[in-house]
Amino acid sequence: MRSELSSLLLKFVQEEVCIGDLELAGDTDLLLTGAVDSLGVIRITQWLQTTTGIEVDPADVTLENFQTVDRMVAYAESQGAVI
Amino acid sequence: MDAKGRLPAGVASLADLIPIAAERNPDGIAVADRGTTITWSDADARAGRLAAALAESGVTAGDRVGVHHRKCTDGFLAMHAVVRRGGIAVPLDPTASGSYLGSVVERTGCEVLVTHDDCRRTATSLVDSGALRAVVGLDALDAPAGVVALDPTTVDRLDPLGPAGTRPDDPAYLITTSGSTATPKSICHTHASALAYVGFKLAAYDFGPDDRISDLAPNHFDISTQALWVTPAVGATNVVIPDQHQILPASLSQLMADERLTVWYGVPYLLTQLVSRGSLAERDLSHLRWVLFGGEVLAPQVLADLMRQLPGARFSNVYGPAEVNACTVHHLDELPTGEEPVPIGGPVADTAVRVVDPDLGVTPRQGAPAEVGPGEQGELWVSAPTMMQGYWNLPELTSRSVVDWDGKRWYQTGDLGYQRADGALVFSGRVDHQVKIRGYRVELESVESILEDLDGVANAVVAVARSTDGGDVLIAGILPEPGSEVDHEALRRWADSRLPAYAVPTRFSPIGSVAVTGSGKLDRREIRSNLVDAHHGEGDI
Repeated sequence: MRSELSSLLLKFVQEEVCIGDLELAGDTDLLLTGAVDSLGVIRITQWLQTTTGIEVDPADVTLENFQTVDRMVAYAESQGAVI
Repeated sequence: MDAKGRLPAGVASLADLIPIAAERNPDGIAVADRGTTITWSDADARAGRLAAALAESGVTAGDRVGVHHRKCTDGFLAMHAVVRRGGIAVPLDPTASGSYLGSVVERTGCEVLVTHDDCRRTATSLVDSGALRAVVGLDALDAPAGVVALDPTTVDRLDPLGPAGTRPDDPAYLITTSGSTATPKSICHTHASALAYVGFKLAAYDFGPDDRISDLAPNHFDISTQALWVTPAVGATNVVIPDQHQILPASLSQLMADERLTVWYGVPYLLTQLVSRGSLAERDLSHLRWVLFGGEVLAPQVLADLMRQLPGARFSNVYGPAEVNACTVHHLDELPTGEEPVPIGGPVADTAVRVVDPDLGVTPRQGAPAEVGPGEQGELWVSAPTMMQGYWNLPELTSRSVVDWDGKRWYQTGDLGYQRADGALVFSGRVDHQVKIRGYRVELESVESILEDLDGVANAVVAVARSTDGGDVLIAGILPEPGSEVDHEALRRWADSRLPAYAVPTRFSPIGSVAVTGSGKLDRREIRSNLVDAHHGEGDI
């Protein structure tokens, strides 16, 4: 079952960030598909910080942590994200 | 000096570069791409098999072939395969919409496409449009009747072909760029002009077979020519910088460290990202010995920051519109101070640059051109063997842009500049409304005219604004026809279907109060400045 964070983030990325008309899932590669560009990554980072209270270290904004919504959620939870 | 002086013996065309690299350095690594590598000998065989696939697709000398890839080994090999077959490569923007690419394919007359599954979505839309007679590189494509489809497995079984024997003045590739009208133009480079560019780079930089050179600019952007043609000429290694890493500076710097990159060449935008978000202090970039940048202006403060963080690397500004490949370089031997712009430097090899009285507003030019004195601003004119043959199928535009003077052909760049007291040239703006977005040229009036083509739009005014990531973006102000309403999302889709991704405004807003000049025209300058102020006032996009 999707966590609340996961649903909220997917909705934010789909509605506010996604470039083009791609239908996103938790495991869609956001970078390779071009759905998210560098500005989008910054907006997602800001959203994660405001919504979950975590602090995102720029060094953590990597392929491993930001390729898909699922990975972003896993990363945010590993940093103690709470909603 | 002879610009071709340091090309390997026997290189008569771009098609010879890989075969000769394979002969001289068969086991040297040609390309390192996400954990896999191929040798020059592999590269020769694979480019040969792709050339055979083009032959099977009916490609003969002079045929245009679309090359459609994200950054990857296959894209590099595809460019070489097309020139090996004697075709003219037309690299296509992998981020553009299918309909924009359709217009490029139609205008340049590409009937064959070499691509990769990473670009399947737009590639299949090109197939479905009926413009192509053959597609190479897609897995299990359900091709319509009459379209030849060769998948990678089939290509791997073909016998490699050698170079077709092209002449130096044969066209080799087309670089598509925006024009001042709604229709883009394609710059046509020959084998000779591209090889002269290789000679230019070898005269300006001490690249050698031990270098590991970044391959990061998309093939439709002229910065890619270094990785495409210069790397094989020295038998060095291309390190592919995948598209995803270019979005994530921390991953980018990690890749640069892991791959022990020695030469970087890219637009200032990416360097700005590396400084602000690349965690450079935590990376071992001690192998990096050259950082080349070009395509747009790099802020001196950012450069100073970078030079402090990468003390082992030498920095160099490369200048040259795509029409002339590259024409001046400036190596930075001291940290820039204050706000003084980073010079574009001086000509290399057999390139000549003159600063010419821009004679603005007079068309056609009255009388002979005249040089301005040191320190005075003028238009930069370039004469060089690296110059394009012309704009593809646009002889009139070519003859307006390239003129005879003093027994040479000169390209009028439209760039303004002046000569400093120490002789170095400094770029100081444009004669027109051309701007750079992440190094890509965009003519503001061409974007405006495309937006104004949509029903209901009376006027569109486009401006450049600074985005949150420190890069530049386009923003548009829209004035609807009286009684009409314009759906900004529809307008964005309209722009996306007619423009490359970098030229699509990221934001549309209504023009509030309409400024009019004394002559009753829309005061675009005033509106642009209001749009930018409003954008920056909101702090984010």
